[in-house]
Amino acid sequence: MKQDIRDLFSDDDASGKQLPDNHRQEFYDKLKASRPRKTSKLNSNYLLKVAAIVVLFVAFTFAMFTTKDKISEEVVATPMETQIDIIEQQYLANIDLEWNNFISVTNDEKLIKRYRNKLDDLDADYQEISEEFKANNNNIQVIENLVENLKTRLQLLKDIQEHIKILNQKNEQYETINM
Amino acid sequence: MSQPHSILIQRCKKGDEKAMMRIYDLYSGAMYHVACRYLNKEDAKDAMQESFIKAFHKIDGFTENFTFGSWLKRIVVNHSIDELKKRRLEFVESEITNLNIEDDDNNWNFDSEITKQQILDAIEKLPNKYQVVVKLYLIEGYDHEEISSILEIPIKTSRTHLRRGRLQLRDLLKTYYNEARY
Amino acid sequence: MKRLICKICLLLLITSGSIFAQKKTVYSEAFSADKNTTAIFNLENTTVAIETSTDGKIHFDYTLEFDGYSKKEVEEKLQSINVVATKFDNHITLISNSVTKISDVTFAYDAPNGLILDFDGFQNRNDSIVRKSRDSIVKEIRHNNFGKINAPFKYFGDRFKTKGENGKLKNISKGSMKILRSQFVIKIPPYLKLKINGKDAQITIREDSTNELSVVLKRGFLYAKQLTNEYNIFKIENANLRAESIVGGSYDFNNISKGLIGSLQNVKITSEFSKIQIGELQDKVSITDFNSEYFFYNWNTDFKRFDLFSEYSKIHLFYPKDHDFSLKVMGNNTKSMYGNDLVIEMQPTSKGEKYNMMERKAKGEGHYSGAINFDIIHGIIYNYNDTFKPSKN
Repeated sequence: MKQDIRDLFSDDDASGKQLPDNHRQEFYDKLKASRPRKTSKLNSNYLLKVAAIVVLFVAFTFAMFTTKDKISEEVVATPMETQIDIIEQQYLANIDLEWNNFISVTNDEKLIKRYRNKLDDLDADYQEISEEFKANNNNIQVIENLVENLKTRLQLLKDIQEHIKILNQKNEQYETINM
Repeated sequence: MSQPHSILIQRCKKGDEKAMMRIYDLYSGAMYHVACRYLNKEDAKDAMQESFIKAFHKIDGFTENFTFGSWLKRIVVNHSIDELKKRRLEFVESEITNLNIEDDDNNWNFDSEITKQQILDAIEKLPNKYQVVVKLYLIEGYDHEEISSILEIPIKTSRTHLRRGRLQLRDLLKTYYNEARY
Repeated sequence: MKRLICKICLLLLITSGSIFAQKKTVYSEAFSADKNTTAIFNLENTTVAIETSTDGKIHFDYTLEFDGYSKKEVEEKLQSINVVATKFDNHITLISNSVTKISDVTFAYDAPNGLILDFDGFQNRNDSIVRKSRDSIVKEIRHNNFGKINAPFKYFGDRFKTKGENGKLKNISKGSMKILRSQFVIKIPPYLKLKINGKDAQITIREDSTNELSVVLKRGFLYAKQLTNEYNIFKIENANLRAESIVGGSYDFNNISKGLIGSLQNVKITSEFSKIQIGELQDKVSITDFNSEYFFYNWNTDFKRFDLFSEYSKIHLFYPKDHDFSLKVMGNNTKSMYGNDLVIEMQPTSKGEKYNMMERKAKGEGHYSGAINFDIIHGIIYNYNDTFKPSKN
């Protein structure tokens, strides 16, 4: 009497092995640790809306654009600058976070170096645009340039992580032809 | 099996941690069992948990083409094998010498009196190279294409290891069986 | 509400003198130029349109139109702009800069209740990826008039709001806005050798150009029709580029966020961190790239040969339609995707050396248009509309 022993295993029963008592809590801790912090999940939309709600100021001084009113020309952190500051801080924090995420998923030194250079380059650009902003804080295009710069830096880091993720993906559900 | 989980899975895709814990509760036992086939208990637990994290990380890629369980199991198996490789060196690909054309064409018919446990014990005695392939084939039910993908070995090697493992299994069980009788 | 607005308008009227739309000439000059004349334009914070002159002279014509500015403000603005051109030794130098950025249309707000960035307006739409024809790329380039903002007030209003009486976001009324329109046209003879150094410059080349151009641009944009000259050298950084057609030259692209090129021929491109769509690839094109995203939509009937050397790039490859071709992909660690069902993984080797990853030989039927060669490391290739089916191993 013969049996095909493959049939013995077709029923995948999971008896006999017991996980330790605290395994669920242990997993929960690991899960929490692996989730991106809430701040990095904020998209730009949210960031700006926060900035928008936070800042407001006195109406009148702004309405007057005349040189005779020297007092109003005194350099006080104008609301637009404050708004930009907040946005800047949020973005820079996220850029920092994404940078750390990025270098943790790749070993390619050359890649890291090139990204470092590019980000430094964009940072230098940002300083230049900021100078322009100080000189002229009500020019829409300058403000746009500032925001675009921050957006670009963040997006570059997100894109490369996505790229690396796709490259590293083991294809469970795809048909794979290894050549 | 995947139907009631559809909603849970959708929630997981959105990053809902409660849903993720529910999935863990539903599958951790079975996945632990799978991991235990390749690793010791402590390592198996870690590997199982890490596999869940990996799975949640790439859950966007999960479509209903497969059942969630088998998709998850694949991840667990892959990860367990990776961990196994770190601990044991005998997974370096070996040279395949010319296969002798055996009469024994993938014959898995064994004596009916041999129990499952006996087979499992015998498998544990196989050399590691063959043991893993036998487990993936016999217990997990993967075919050679899948095994070659998991272990990153050519399909030919997978076939050879399985054949040799099967033959050794016969030898082991024969002696055992014979010993048991007398 | 109405009363408040009126009050403010009145206030502005009273306190800031007369407000009116005013056209002012900033600079107007012409220089003769012969076949040996060379020129350099140093442009900073400037918007410029370049056209062809037919009278053997270079013409500079710069006017500004002020809307909502007081006389004093107009004066101040004119003071803050510096434009001067000189000719020496058959060489013309133009310097144009401005303390503040002057775009095609510049806005300055007078928002009584403060100005708030409304970020929804900043978001870009994402198109789905389909094959675009060369003509549609050209159309896209021309669509907003080479970057001219067609409805400036709406553009502004989408991005900036103010606070209303009830504390909610409110659109800014036109009455509180100052608008500055700039019109700076430079006409150059077709034989002029020209060098442009641009920084925060918006440059539009409104007519097909055969000049020998050397352009360095940082921030801003460059829009062009056809650029034809094998000695052209362009270096564009952190800016945008749209050209209907590029023939000849070498181009360096760094962080071009949305590059659109109608067609390429006889060009050597070096690029990084950019996103570039190409309507049609013609002959003698080679691209060396790092971490950009390219769209190769169409291939000329006789493109003969195309070379791509890249690392960490994303390539959207639309296969040549109607004609036979060959594709060779060599490199390392690259994924080639076919829709959602098929991935060809070209695994990394332990030492990272390049190997022949994938090849599609010419079918041998019909007209053979050319060979596409990819030398690609850590890349992702998206294949579109393809009939290619790899044989099962």
